[in-house]
Amino acid sequence: MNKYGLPFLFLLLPFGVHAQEDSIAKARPPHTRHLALEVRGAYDSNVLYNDLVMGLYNGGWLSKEIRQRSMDAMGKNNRAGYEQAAKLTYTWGQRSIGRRIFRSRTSLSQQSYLGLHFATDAYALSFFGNKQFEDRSAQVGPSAFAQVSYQQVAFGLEEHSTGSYLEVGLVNGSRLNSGKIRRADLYTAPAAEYIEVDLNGSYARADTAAAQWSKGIGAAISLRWCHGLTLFKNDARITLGTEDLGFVAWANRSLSVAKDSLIRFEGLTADGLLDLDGLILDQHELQDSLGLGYTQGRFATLLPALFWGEIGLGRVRHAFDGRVKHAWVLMVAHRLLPGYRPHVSVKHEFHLNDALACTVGLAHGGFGDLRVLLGLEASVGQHLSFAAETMNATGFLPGFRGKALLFKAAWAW
Amino acid sequence: MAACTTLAACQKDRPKPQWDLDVLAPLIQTSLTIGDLVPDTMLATDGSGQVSILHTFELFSLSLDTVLTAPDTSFRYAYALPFPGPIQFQPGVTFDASDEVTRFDLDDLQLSKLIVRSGQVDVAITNMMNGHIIGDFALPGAQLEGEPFQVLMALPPGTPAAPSNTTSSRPLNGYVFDMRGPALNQVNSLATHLSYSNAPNGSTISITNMDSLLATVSYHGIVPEYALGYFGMRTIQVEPATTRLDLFENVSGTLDLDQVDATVKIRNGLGVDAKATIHHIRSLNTRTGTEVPLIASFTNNPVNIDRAADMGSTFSPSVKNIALDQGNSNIKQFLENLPDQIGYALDVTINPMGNISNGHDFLYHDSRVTAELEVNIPLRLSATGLSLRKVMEVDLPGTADAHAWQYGTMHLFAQNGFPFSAAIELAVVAPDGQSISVLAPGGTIPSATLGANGLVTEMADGRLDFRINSAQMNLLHLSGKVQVTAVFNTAEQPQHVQLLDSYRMDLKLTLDGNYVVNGDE
Repeated sequence: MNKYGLPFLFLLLPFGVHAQEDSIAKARPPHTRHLALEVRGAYDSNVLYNDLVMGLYNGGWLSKEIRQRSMDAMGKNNRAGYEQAAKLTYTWGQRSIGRRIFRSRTSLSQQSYLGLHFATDAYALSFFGNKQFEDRSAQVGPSAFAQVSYQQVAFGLEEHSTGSYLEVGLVNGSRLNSGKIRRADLYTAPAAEYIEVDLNGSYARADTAAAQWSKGIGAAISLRWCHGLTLFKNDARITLGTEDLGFVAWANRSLSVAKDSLIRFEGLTADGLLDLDGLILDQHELQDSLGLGYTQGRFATLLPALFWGEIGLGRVRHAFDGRVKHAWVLMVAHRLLPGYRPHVSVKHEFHLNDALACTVGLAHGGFGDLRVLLGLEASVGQHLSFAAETMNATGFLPGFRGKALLFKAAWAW
Repeated sequence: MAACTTLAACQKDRPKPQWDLDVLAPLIQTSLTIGDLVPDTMLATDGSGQVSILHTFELFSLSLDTVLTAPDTSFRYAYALPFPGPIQFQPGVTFDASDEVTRFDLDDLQLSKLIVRSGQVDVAITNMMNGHIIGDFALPGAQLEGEPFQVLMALPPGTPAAPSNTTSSRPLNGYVFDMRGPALNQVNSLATHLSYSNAPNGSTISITNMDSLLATVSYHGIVPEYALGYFGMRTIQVEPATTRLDLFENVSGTLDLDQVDATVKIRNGLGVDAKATIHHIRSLNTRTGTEVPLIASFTNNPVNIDRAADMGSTFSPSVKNIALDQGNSNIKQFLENLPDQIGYALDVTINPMGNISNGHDFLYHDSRVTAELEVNIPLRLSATGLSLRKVMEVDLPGTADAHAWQYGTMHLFAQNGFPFSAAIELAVVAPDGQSISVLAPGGTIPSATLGANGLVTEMADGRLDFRINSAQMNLLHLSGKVQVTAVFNTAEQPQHVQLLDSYRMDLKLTLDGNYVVNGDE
């Protein structure tokens, strides 16, 4: 079985239980208050195998075989990234701003993201060194990465009937580390007589010297718009949305550097070969020698906003928290992170019984390639539901790439 | 690498990930000039860029204590009734007063004046009288800013069986001693006054010839600031001794200088005429065990040295210059021995013609008789195996057990603009400085190309490699010391070569090594 065989097998599973679905789709009693907690964590890559990533995470010795395996998967389009997010959402009331169609909504979230795309030579330099490039150039660019962490408190309105909403949030930036290399040709002269870098790139980071929690302040909006329509003579639903469309203005002790020049490094300059006592090689000294010293000051960056759209088809289920769910969902999403490709997924939900619903699907994009989706949702009476989902079921198997888990808990009353 | 850093940063208690890289990296670039071989302060350059070493080093020095020492001295003064008694004294009555002359034993010195730089006097009085006594000890001939020295001491009552003891110590710093005595016609003599009285607020005391007072006056640690008088005619023997010479420190091999000029400068800071008889001055190379005695006119015949001039509060030394060159001495061979020590032995006779100053010999605390050798060595030379060695502290991250650099090869790129070749050896040395492992293979950087005029016309390129294996890397992290030895040779040149201040050697040190990421943790 080739590497795409297993995902397709998962996709076929729902057809075996399709006949049960009609009998369980029914309206739920209305509630006026809803509390939902969503926690998700995922990393993915189209080239880095889990043994490498977990080795980096867990520590210890990374063998050459592990590093070489990912190296062998490299191509022109190497991507990786992760997301860690937790969000608590509360909606309440029968009316808001004087309109009965709306209710109030607030949310609190903590999110961290990393996205990168990188040249194969950048990986080779990082994991094998530059000796293999003796007397030739390594093409380190184009490469880019962005790592950002932030917290957000948001307030808004939600439409009762469709779940459409608009939120405006205040964002606290706690971490930024980002770089973009448009060109970086690193030439290593024989026996390292000198190293030359033809560099065009930039780097920015929030102040890491300060211990304070807030290193930048910003704002963002999130919205979801849902609209019912008829498609192929069936009820359908189109949903468009964005999350975290906004910015963070980082504090004035933030650091940045931009360079577009040819840098030649022949070693740190010493007063004399016989007077090296006390000569210390450190990062700052090296940076200054290369003319890559930081500039301190304010700057703003966009948040890694998520844009998405989906079409729901097939039988409709009304969840007790007001959500309308179709049996089939086709979704396209894109997050503003380096290395992130539009993520396309198709999911099918079917019910095992009154309390249990199962989701299977396929996805492609994001930081990875073809992935299998699996999910399970359990309702406890008319007030509680729990869901667990993975966007990468095969990631838990040996020899694959990426891992992803999502947990949801919802309470309505 | 950013992703790796990020993932590693997520860890709290887990070990950091490690992997090895084969790294090629430039480390250091520098230029070696003559100023790096010889300290700039010793170098002089003429208009044509030719370089000379100008260096002065001390041959010997005779300080004040070889001429004048003031030994610790004690004097005792006793008082008792010359008849059986008893006799009564009313309160406030002085019952004994004596003015005496204290004569110091200073051998051949005849001092008329002494200014004390530091020192102290201790006065101890034993009282066997049954009453409160006031003791008054004074030195009328010792004054500080016009005030005579005086000590008043309250002596508690005592008995012959149980006397009371009272002591008082006073510094003498800055006191001017008139050593001519009370009549101003003696030497080494100091007027002294000692008296006793019944305390004014005490009671009448009755004493017999069994009751007595005993005073002991001790002078300690007297260091003269200035002394005036006749210092006597005597010969001071300076036993064989050595002084250290750093000019050729860490240098070995064979050096052939084209020309050397030198001057022996004898300075006399003492206010006495002197005659120096130099028994020997030797160039000592303790590394090779060779010594070369200096042969010159002054090493065979006594050298008369004039006295310094007293300027009132300081002095002006007399200076005697004796020029040495290859025509009148063996100074060239003396220096080519690359001495690290100078050995000497001599006699100095002061006042060889007697008291011709009429008692006006003088000295200050800083007065010295010194001899210096001032050398002028034009750097026109030939060198064979001339070796320069230095141990460097290398501040490497990590420990002997955990370090990032594992093994590799260091490459030394050189562009040599000196007219000599340089064989370079690197070695890891133990904490005690002993070489314990040589980094092979090393090699020789070729000499620059010389033109017909004997000057460099073209720099020469060279590259040396030094392999360092895992064991050597461990040793290096353990000791943190590297010894660099450079051996210079002008053997390719038939004649002496002239060094110019523009000559230099450009060096780059690079490393081809195996590096473990987070290996320092």
